Parts: sequence; C-alpha cells; structure tokens
Amino acid sequence: MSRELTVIACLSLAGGQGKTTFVTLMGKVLAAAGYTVLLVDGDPQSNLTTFLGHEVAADEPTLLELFKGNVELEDAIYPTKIKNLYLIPSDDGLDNVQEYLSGSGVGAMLLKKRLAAAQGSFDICLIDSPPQRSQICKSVIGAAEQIIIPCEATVKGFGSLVRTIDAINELKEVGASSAEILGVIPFRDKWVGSNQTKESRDAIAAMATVVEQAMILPSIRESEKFKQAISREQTLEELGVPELGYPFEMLLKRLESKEVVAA
Amino acid sequence: MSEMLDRIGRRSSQRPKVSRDTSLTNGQSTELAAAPTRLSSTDAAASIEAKLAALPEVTSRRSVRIEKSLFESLSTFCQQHGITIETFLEASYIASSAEPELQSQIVIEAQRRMEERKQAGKLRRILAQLNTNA
Repeated sequence: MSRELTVIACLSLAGGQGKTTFVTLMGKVLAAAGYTVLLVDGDPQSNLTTFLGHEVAADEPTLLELFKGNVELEDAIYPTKIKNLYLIPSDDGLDNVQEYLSGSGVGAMLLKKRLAAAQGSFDICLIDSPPQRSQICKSVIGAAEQIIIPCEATVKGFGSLVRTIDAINELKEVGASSAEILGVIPFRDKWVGSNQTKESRDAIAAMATVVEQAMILPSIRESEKFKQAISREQTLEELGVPELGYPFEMLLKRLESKEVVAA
Repeated sequence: MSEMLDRIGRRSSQRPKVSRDTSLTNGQSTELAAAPTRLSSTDAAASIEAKLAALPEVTSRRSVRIEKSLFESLSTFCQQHGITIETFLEASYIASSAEPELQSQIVIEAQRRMEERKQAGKLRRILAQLNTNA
C-alpha cells in the first residue's frame, strides 16, 4: 500500500524547550497508533539518537552524509527497538554541515529534497531541530509541511516562541517554506497541587497573544516522569502515569482530525 | 511492509562505510594553517566593512503582523517584484512622503485598521478572562 508522507518539524529557537522530549515520546505514540514513523535527529547534540538507544558507529552513515548526498536515504535510516519507529541519527559531526549548507545556495531546500524518497514507505517524518537559528534550522523549516512549537511555560519560552515564528515567517516570505504551524505546546507547565503557578499561567496567556488561542495545545506538565520514561525506554503507560500522555494523545487526534495523517 | 522498509531491516551489513570529523580541534588547526594569509583576509574584511558602512543600517528584526486576508497577496506581490514586505514598507513611506494627499489617505486607512486591532485585542483579553474564570 502506498503511503502519503507528512513531514512535521518540532522547532523552538532556545534550549530546554522540550523539543527532543516531545519528538521521542510523540514518535512512540504515533508508532504505537500504527503509523510508520521516521524520526530525524537534526541536532548535533544528538540527544534524540541517545534517547532511542541508538549508538552511532564512526563509520556508519548519519544525517550528515545524507545532507551531503554521500549516501542514499535508506543507508541513513536505522530501525529502532520499537516497532514502526525508524531513525536517521546524528552525532557531533553534524556541526560540519553548517558550512556545506551555507555554501550550497539551496540549503533551505536540501533536507526536503533528501527526504523525498521516504514518500511511499513512511506515514510521518518527525524532525528534531537544533535550538539555534542555524543553517540546519533553515533546512528543517524548508522541509516541513507542519511545525509544532514546544515552549517552556516561562518568559524564556515565550521569547523562544516569538523568535521561532519570526524565523518561519522570514523563510515563508522568501518562498523557502510553505509550512503551517500545527500548534504550540507549553512545556514544563508547573502546577502545585491543583493550582497552576502564576508564571506558567502568565506565560501561556502571553503565548495566546502571539498565535490564535486555538493553536495552544494541551500543555506538558512539569514532571520528572518524562525523563524517567525516556531514560528507562518505557512508555508513560508502562511507567504508571498514563494521564501525562494526554497532550500527545490530543495531538494525535488533531493530526487525524485535520487529516494531516490518515486515521 | 514497503520494499524500502524491508531493505532497511536487512541492511546492517550492507551500509556504505563513511568517515567524518567530530572533533573541535581539527577545525582550529585548519584556521592555524590559514594564518599566513590572515593579513590579506584582514585587508579584505576592512574593505568590506568600508563598503558596508556606506550602505544604510537597518534595525534589529521586528515582528510584523499582517492581516491574514492581505498577507498572501502582499507576499505574492513582493515575491513577484523581488522585494520584501519591509523594503516595500520603506519605499511606500518614502514615495508617499512626496504625495501629501496620498499619504493622508494612507494614514486614514491605517488609523481605521489600528482601531480594529485595538478592539480585537480588548475582546481577546475579555475572552481570556472569561475562560480563566470559567
């Protein structure tokens, strides 16, 4: 059966905004729902690669070689321990692609071109992006059809949202991106008992002044359980906290209801 | 399972071997190797800086929010002419400064839009308060 590929980027232009946490857990949710998912580790810090338990050998192809066109797409894709979940890994070497992209003249379009061969084999490609406004970031925006912006429920997170939307609009303006923003996910939304902290509430309210209220998705609560689920390579259900999976389930519903992916 | 997924599953021994540089220090040694030519690079940089100084400076990036119904046609218009929304805005200001009648029409339209935005902002705030209290 031929599949319609949807490329979704997880983007937020600051560190600690929950990009890799989101991609790791959302990738698993999508794979568990029966979609064939390709995760792309676009950050040279390569935490997504680590979180998925993948070890990159020095002589094995990564996203760097795919970017440069040294290998075919399928040479850079690795199965993970999880059914339906595949990975294009990275390591520190990915930093070297910056110069290549800035000199190529088509840097913003390159990842889209390299991923085109995934059409027909994968349902969803989910890209983890670096926190800097770098050439890699440009190429990630250029490749994306949909963008999810996780933002910490703090002043820093709000600033990251504004910078991220600016960067997307800048590329749209020059015709290098046609991505739609799928939603903003407040991250580390802090609650004390049944009360949301003022900082979280104010930051999320401020986010709703930058994008439409309907774009603000259910928040990811501050909890050590997310780190535990990732480091133990367990799902939130397996860890005994299925309620924390709510934002991921809701996003899956949104993807299906908007027909971004076939239900 | 698609043919590609099948191939990926059987690929472990068939992947091409690659080599890549993951060190920070190798980049530095390249810079050191280029040191003898640094003087000419400095001259070139000074010449570029002089050329840059002769061109207008721009402010840091500001967020420009455009009415949705206009954004697409305005972007298309700018793309067709190889300009950006910012340079169009600058040129429009300069051109209309020489045409007082046209400029006053623009200001009246802009003030009407400003009122609409203020009203939308107030309504959003009230709605947010209602939702918070609900």
